[in-house]
Amino acid sequence: MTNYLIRRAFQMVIVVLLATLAIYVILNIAPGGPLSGLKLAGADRKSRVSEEDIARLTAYLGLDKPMALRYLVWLLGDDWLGADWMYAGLTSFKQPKLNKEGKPIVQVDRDTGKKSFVYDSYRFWSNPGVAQLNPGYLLWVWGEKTGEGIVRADKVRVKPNKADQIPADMTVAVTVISQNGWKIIANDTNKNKYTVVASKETQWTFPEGEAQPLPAEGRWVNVSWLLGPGGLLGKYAGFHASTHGILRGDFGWSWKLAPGQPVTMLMKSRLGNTVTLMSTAVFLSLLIGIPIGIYSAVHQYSKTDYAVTTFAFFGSAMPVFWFGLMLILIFSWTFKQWGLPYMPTGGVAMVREAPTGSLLNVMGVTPGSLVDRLVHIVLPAMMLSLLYLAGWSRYSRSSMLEVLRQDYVRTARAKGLFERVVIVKHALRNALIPVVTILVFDIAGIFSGAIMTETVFAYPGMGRLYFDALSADDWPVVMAYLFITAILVVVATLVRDIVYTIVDPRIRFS
Amino acid sequence: MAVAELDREVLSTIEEESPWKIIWRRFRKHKLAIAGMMTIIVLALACFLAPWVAPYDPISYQAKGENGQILKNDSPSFKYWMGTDNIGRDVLSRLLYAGRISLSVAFVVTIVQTIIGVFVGAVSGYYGGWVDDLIQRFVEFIITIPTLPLLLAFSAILRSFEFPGVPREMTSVIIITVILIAFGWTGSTILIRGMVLSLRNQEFTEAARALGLNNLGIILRHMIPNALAPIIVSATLSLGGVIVTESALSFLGFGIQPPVPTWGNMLNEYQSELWTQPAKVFYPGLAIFVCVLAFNYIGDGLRDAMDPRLKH
Repeated sequence: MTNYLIRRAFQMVIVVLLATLAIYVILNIAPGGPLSGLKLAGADRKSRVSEEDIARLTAYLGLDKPMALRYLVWLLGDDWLGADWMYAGLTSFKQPKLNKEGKPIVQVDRDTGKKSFVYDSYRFWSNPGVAQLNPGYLLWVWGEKTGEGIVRADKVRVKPNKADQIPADMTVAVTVISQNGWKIIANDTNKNKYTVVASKETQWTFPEGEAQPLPAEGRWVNVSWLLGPGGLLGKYAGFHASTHGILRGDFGWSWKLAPGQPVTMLMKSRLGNTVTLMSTAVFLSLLIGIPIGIYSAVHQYSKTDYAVTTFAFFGSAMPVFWFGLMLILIFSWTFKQWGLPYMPTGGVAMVREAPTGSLLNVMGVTPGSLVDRLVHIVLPAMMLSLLYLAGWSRYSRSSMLEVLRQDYVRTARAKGLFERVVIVKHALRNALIPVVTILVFDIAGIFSGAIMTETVFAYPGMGRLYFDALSADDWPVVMAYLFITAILVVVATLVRDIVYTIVDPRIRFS
Repeated sequence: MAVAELDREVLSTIEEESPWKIIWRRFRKHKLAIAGMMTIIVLALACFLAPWVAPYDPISYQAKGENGQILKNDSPSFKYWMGTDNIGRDVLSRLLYAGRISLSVAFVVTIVQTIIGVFVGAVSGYYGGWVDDLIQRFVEFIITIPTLPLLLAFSAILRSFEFPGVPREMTSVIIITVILIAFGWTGSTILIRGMVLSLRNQEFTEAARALGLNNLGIILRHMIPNALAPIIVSATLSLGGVIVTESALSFLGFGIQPPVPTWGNMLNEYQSELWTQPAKVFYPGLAIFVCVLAFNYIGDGLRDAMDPRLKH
């Protein structure tokens, strides 16, 4: 057995590695690569994504590096490589997080009473030479006048306080009108036009609270391209300094759904919802499905049996997503029409007070309470249960029928045992063996089983996350999801085989 | 007299009936299967003859009111039996054309994946050894992984793929067909492998080999025809599965793309109007449900009719 387990563990590692390779390669050799969706959007002129943006994004995400290297980084992280060379032109800076009043948020440690700032970490693609200065910004420029109305800037202070004492050595004080790369067109107080020419060597000073403290390398930070309509990556786009790789439990950073947030965090926030939903559905369907399967097997060809088999037949033919929509139609739409307390159609809990006439309102539930969550899970769980219920009643019925034909059941009956004892002690326990193993395999389905349900009911779980990630081309999330699913499948296979030997001593592995 | 008649009947059946006739005779007894077949025939006729049956064009027609205004989201009327959608297209026409696509995809996918599956399974079972090992490990792998996420991922990455010379709206139809085939052939592989393994060592195979038939000939002439019955049953049962999977993908927006209508993407389109026009959500789903149910019953009936254990 030990030998067997060791061998299996070894096989598991290989299978998982192969799976990672397959996932990575398939998602990356796709025509157009991982950014194909973005390119498509650009081609349709639906968004303002230019070729240049895509080129920048490609470099920003490290996609211009050879795939083998990227795969390695995805797998093992890049902290041991030194991160920055992977992502050319990347700089990062920290600044205190600000509250609504524009003041830094101060965190107080409960135990020590120590006060500290909460920092926001930004990691931007910085394009040397292109700064984004909004029109109206006041600049104090130190430098050299190289011609009529032209100033070569050595040092610039952005948005000085007008009340401040103007430094004597300052060359010119101007207000920004427009900007074209290095060149800033500005007016001074006498409406004289100035062209301020900056360069890589120019030193910049930004006021407190503006999101442009100078990055360490003295490069300019251009966040304008991140702030497109809807955002390519959003304002807080970024890459962490280093990743640890999926094998060390770091799935990287989300590109789009929650830019700059670790995928792990994104998943953690969703995992609980999915597990709740799936376990409710599996539990319910087991609780109902197995007994009715057993009952209909014991009473084969009875009316109940026909009812059960017909139900299972209908259930397996039912497109689940349509069933979900029909549930909404019945319990929300029709109930509302009839003035009955109707069910919520989606989500995991209420965000605001329930509308009058809804079930939650009638019950007087406070948003976010346990009852609220329970009510929200009813319809999705019903939808999922149907799928499982049809399967379970079928499995347990056929498994029980198989066992009831066995000789030992006949022997038990011949011994004069009560039918109940024959069924429960002799038949049922054996009939459940295949059922248990199928149940184990459902572990792997915990993630994937709920894609449909979570989409129909806008339920924020793993399936919905995967769906959203695919729609938004958030490949790190997609790959993480597929990787976890692969691991779950492999583990479930092993657990199933082990459970086999435990529940069925006839089977031995060596 | 009665005895003589009975004898004649029995004799005639023994002499005249081919295996297919026997199957048909048994199949006829399965009332639900017959009902399923009728349903499919009617549905398929209505859908495949959509250009003649459907009242309007599914894509370009716009319902106009008396004053020439476009009838958007019109409720069912004598002119538009199922109403119109959000840009004034006739829902019934779209439903019929959608059925054409959904059924064609289902048939093509099932036929091709069965052919591939049968061939791979026959090779795997007949040759055995490392070929068999390799194929079986691969098949096991495909069967264990949950396919929906993978199907979604594949259709997502192939979104921007274009075939030269194929109209853009048909691209997604081809892609989905290919993806469904790629993940669907394993079922019949397992089935036929098992059959071939048991047939391989039987005497008629030996005889065929002794007569000088080569391996391919044995597979084509003896193995596959002998394993045909369960293959047909499983193919029929998988038709429903393909329809559901295709509509699921289209429903999620990763399948066949509008304006080409399929039952799945119609559901997707109408989902947002669930609160104003619930009936529209009802029809496409009902079509899928009825279709799948019918295919499953036909498969069930075929299994009962073809199962050798039931032979007299």
